[in-house]
Amino acid sequence: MIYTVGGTKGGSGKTTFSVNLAVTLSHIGHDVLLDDADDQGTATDFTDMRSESRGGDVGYTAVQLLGKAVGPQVQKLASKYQDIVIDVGGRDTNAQRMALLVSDVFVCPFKPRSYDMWTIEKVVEVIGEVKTINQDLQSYAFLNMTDPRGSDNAEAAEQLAEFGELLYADAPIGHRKAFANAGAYGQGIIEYKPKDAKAIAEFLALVSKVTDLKASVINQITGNSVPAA
Amino acid sequence: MPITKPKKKRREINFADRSVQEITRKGGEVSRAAVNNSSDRPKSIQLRLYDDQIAEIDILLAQRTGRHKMSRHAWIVQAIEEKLEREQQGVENAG
Repeated sequence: MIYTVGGTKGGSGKTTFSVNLAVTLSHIGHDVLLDDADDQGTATDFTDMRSESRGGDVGYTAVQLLGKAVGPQVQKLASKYQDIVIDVGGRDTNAQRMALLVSDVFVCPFKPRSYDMWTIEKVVEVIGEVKTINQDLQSYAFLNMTDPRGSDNAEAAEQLAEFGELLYADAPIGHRKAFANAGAYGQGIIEYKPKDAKAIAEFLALVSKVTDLKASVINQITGNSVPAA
Repeated sequence: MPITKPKKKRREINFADRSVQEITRKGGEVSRAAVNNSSDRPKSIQLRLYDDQIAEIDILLAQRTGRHKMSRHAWIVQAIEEKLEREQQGVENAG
């Protein structure tokens, strides 16, 4: 499967989800390629940190294919890897469009904030254009860094559920510091100690919604409890 | 009887196709510096100066001694950098 994690708004948690997805898929035993197609290079920084702390064994292959190279290169590499995760920047770039043309799944995080929610229509527009070529693309939106209380989460979820081309994956992830702490050590949330059970459960619940992995498989391998879909 | 679901053949995208190019062209470029870190290379430009100006520069250069000695080229580059710094400070102060 080829996953693109993108959107048109920065700071929504794309790289955090990308690296955690790559780490989780590698734990499940998949041969994973992580493409850092974001010119900020944060996924590459994560991999560098991970490589240092794990003696070079990061568990996946990392590359930095940018711009228009993303499409043809990923297409060539598709047969060599079980999963490819492409982290694109938070803008409507040709890299993101190229990635979507060759992807099976598009995952788009949204923070429950007005500036973030205002970008939904642009994202849906890009999906519509890409789907004229790549009709099989499955697109998911999820709420990231949600508030512990208040009505913003529910309002944002309602807005995300309005668009047919962008399915709302009802598995929100709270504003949890453990993701940033884990990332600082080059670790995925499922690896980080002290374990944040809530963060892990939320993340894996989302993984089970946007991948073709069954909750039982994720639970068996990661030792965590994801509710069955 | 085969029990494994046959793997779905991946659809090949023809990137030379006009419709594909139209879709990707609508997306912005990533910054050039990120695509190629080596793009910030010196470029040659033609600089036209009067003889008097060159002479003035050379006189100033000749007065320099020790570690302050530099080539005419280095002096001009330094002058440009100083002007850039001044103008940028002016913009910041105005903002």
